Amino acid sequence: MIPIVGDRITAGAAHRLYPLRVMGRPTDVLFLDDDEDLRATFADLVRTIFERECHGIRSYGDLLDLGERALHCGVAILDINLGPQVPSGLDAYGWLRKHGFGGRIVFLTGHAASHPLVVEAKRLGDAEVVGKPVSLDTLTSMLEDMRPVAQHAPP
Amino acid sequence: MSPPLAPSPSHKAQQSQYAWRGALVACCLTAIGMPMDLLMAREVPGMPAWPALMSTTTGVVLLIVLLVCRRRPTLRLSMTVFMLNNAVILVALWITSGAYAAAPGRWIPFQANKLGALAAAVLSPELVSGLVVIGGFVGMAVLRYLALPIAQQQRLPMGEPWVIFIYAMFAVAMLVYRVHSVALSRRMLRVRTESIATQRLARTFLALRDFTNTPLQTIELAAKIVRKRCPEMTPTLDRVDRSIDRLYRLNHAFSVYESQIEWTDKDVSPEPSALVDR
Repeated sequence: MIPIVGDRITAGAAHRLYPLRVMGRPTDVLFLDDDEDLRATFADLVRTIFERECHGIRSYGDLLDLGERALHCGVAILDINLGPQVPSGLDAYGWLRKHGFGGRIVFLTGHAASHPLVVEAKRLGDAEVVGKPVSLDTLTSMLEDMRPVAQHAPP
Repeated sequence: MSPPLAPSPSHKAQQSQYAWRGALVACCLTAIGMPMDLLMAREVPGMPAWPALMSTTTGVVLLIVLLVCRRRPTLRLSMTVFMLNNAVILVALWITSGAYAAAPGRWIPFQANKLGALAAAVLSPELVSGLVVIGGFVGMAVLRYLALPIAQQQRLPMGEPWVIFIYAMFAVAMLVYRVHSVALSRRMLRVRTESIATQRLARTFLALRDFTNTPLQTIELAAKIVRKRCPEMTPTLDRVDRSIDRLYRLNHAFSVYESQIEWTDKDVSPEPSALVDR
């Protein structure tokens, strides 16, 4: 059975149906958030409005499972706080950069700007921090301003 | 300018507790000190035992009263006990100082009055009771001196009994300083307590804001998808968007609390849902 969100095929099903896209494309979006509804809605929105593939994952463990496919995405949108006592979006950031992810990384957070995790995310320099709720305009600028992967590739 | 902070019930209780301790120590000193005075004066001719015994008994009885009321001490009770305790001491000292003055040999006068004035500065529950008791010790010494026969007055060491005014001056200074310090400490504690309460409130508001951000984001994005897929739903979705905007404004209002939070290590991974689900 193929999992469907609305009238769209979900990311996992798409990978099974279209093996050529298994490695992901620079236009693909990686979305990490522990809220299932937001994850599904965001993926649906990216496919419906921006006509791009979105890999919605809920945890750092899912990111490791996604592996190579995650590294070929053009933009990664990471929720900073993924719950208590679990790796945060900052850990996901570290993993992506360590494994040569060259795309744009945006932290999405619902926390105060003064929160220690948010402060740490801002300090990273090569990642943006955007507060929830994010408007469609901001989202559009995030997705349309994907820099080429090579530009960010580690030396 | 912020309005002066009104004392909360807990602060009043704290003040009463502090006054109770002072009165308790004063009664303990009386119960212990007066028998020692009796012991030292046993060879003084004509020295009656009853003033010291009366004072000791009063001290013990007041001690029991304070212990009985230890669960709910009041400032008034502590002040009354403190003043009564010292009043009985003054009566006892009036009698014993007469016997000391009449006794042969050298007597350094009004030592107990000097000690009493200094003790009152440290133990008095309040400024007024402290001033009254210090004044009592000084006044009693002066009146007692004036009541002594001329021959006995002339036997007193040089400067007596006027030296007691120097003691009184020191005692009043100590009393004022102590009362002021205690008031300052109480004020600081109150401000600190209010700050903690404000922080707790700020954390709660921010946790609620953080909790609602994600569902609001989901609703907004879902509305965009529906708008794209079903253009005929536009009027309904406009109403949804306006409602979301109002909720965002509410969330934004909570932002003022951000600056009031001092983040700690425990806050690194807060779970707002825990606040809502409890």
